[in-house]
Amino acid sequence: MQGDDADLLVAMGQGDVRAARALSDRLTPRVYAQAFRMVGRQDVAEDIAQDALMRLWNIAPDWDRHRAKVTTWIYRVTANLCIDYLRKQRFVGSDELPDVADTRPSVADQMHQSVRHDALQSALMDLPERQRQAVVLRHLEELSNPEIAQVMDLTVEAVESLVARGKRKLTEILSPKKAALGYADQKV
Amino acid sequence: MTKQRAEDDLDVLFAAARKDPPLPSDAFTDHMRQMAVAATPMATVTPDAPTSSAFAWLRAPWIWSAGTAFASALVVGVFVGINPPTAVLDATAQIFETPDLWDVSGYGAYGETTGDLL
Repeated sequence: MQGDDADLLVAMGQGDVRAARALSDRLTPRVYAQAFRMVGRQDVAEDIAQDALMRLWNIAPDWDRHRAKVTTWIYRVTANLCIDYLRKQRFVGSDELPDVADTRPSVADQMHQSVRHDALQSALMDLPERQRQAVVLRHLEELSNPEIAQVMDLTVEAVESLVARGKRKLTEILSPKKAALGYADQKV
Repeated sequence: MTKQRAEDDLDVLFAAARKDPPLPSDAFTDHMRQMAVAATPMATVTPDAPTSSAFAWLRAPWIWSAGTAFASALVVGVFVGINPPTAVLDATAQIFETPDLWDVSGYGAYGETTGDLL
């Protein structure tokens, strides 16, 4: 079904089931991916994606297409839910924090590409939450800095700073793993 | 080396991650689709097209031109019946040997032969 996200959401709010299905198929992978990259766990990412999308479905009848982009809104809600989850985990204790590298197949059993994916995901999990969020939105979800500023309720300059610091930190984290990542002949 | 090199390597990782994002399971995708349908107000299916069969014949392409022709003929017939043109009267006189359309309508003949009703 054609139409931008706002068209589909408005149609859904007016009772169009086909629009609801199309919007769900379009947004579920994006919201899930964002959540997974933030929390690093499939079950939690699913819970967060479901929560965020249900909030969107519930406001569909009242959606004002001039208020905000649907994607900006859903990224923002998802990001806040992820932050809430991570903060609760901090209170629970670091023993329950996910260890992405340990929950996945060993490096030796994976192909190169998969190793890199896991290394990146693992490195992302080591970033402070705000830096992780900014890097994920900028470099993995490919939002513009002004969009990220809206999602994170920051200035564009603050977003640029977060992204730059996040990338620096990622480089530091990944540098010792350059051999496993296939960069042995390079200076990472 | 260098900072630029390190950033390039990082960009390679980002590009690979974008190309192969974490995907939700099919079961979760189906579940979310069902949730979306359930959350749709008055969950009604929008039909692809009007489907009322009782009026389907109105969509036939010839029906409107036939209807227009019939209506035109009706108007002309009523007009000629009430106020016949001279040419019609002449033709009537020639064929039926009377200028009066009433004589060939059947009504007058019936009245004359029965003596009642008309």
